[in-house]
Amino acid sequence: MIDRVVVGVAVALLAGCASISTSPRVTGGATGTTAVQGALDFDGNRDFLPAPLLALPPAEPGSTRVFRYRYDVHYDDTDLSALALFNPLTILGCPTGSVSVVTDATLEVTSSGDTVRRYAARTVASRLRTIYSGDPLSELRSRALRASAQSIAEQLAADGDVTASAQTRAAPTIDGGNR
Amino acid sequence: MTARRSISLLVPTLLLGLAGCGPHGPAFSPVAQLPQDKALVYIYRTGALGAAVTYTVHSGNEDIVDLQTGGYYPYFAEPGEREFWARTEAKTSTTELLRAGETYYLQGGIGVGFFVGHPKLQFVSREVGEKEIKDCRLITKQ
Repeated sequence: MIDRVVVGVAVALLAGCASISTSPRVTGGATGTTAVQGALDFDGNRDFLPAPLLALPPAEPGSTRVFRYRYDVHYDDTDLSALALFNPLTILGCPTGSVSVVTDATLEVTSSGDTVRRYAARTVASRLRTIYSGDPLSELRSRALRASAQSIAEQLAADGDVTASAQTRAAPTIDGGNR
Repeated sequence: MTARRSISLLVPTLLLGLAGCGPHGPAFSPVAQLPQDKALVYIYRTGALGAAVTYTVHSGNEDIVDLQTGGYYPYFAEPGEREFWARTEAKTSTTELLRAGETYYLQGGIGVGFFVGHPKLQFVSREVGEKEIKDCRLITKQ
């Protein structure tokens, strides 16, 4: 009996946790000191910008080097409500489903109109749903977008060609951000 | 009164009760003209689960609509990051970056709760939204 209670309590506690995973992760990049030069093409929430892009001025038609940052969000929902009605552990907080927020962020660096670098990051933030919890999708989305921005910042920091100077020499396009 | 007879009376009574819960407005028709400085959010709800439970959808401090199953409501929103939320015994929230002149679909639903079902709110793609909203009726504000 005690074992069941312990399991139930553990399930209830774990159910409130969110998991988050981001790819790619680049280690060794000192994002706090990364400096880039150019102009920014972005119309979203600046809270979700990679840190090195925060100081950039807005892009104008004549801008030579432009950093174009975009993000996309979509949701996955697994609903086990029908099963949960017949599961006695539901009342102890056993999951009745889960919800995931998937964010895809991309950063394109263009020089005189040509794409010289492309970075991408994907984050999946998931949370189990119980009869005691709602769906805080706003919070999950915010965490996922910040994690994607952090990944892009790490990739930028690891890329000396883009961050070292404002040189506009062409380089091969890199998908996924890893060289 | 036998148990069987009680059930036979209860089921039609429940069905009649639920039938009165849905919205009575006109069937779905797209907004003809969208103001260029606003975003259009269709808030709608389908599905029979938890049909008796309605909840109010909010954006910030604004009460937008009491969302009933089978109903929809077109909401003209200011562009930018907007959070939509609803609460019964638990709160659900979702946020979207709204752009002027564009149309969004916010799908409502209901999940299992302890005493009362929990609201579910989720932005869905245009393809999904256009397909699901066709069977909904306009929710008219009281």
